[in-house]
Amino acid sequence: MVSIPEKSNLEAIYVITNYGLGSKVVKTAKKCGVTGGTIFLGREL
Amino acid sequence: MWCDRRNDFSREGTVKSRLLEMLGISDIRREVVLMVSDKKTAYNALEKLNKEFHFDKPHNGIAYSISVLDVFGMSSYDSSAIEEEEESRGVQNTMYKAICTIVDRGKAEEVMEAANNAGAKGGTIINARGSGIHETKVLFSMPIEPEKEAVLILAEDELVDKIASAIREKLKIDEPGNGIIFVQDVNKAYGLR
Repeated sequence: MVSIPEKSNLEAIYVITNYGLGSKVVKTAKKCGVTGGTIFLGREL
Repeated sequence: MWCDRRNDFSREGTVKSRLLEMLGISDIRREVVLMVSDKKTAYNALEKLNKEFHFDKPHNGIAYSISVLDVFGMSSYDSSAIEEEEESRGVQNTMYKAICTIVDRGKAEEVMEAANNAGAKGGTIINARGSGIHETKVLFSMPIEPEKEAVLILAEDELVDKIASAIREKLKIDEPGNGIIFVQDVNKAYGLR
């Protein structure tokens, strides 16, 4: 498997959390300077 | 029927529970949050999130980050900003990779089954829609986008090929229209054990 060298200063953060906590995660991240986030509903088996 | 098992004793991060599976209540609702920022902000945010949401403790979910090549539509991001490395907790340049599999709706269970047999410890399923070039249908001049499921699995480096091969084989991914798999490097991870 080939890894692509990093070319940018950007990072995508994924947080998989319990149902109902997504908004709190975004709120906390915003306090750290993250400008926003998108919440998807997921499930586990 | 869904029930809130937020503090269930048997959950560990997103790791599959045999007990819940036996009881037939292993389907757990989750939320996946996606955010993009510069590395320094992202690592600070991950650190803060870990302190607040305790991903290091069982049952609290996971957080990880992946490099992004470019971003558009974020006016506040300054691409000329110089990256400063900072010491922080969490695992950096982890020995983990994220395997994302996109298949037709209803096939995520098969993906998880193949992945678990190959050594995966858990995964998250996201409902999605969309279609590749092989399956675009038009009804009354409107393109129909088939319903899909995206399966996110984090796995240790040495297991990635085995898991991806197992999924490819079981879901016949190499045949047109059966879905796609892509693998990404994980830079930082919290809550994996």
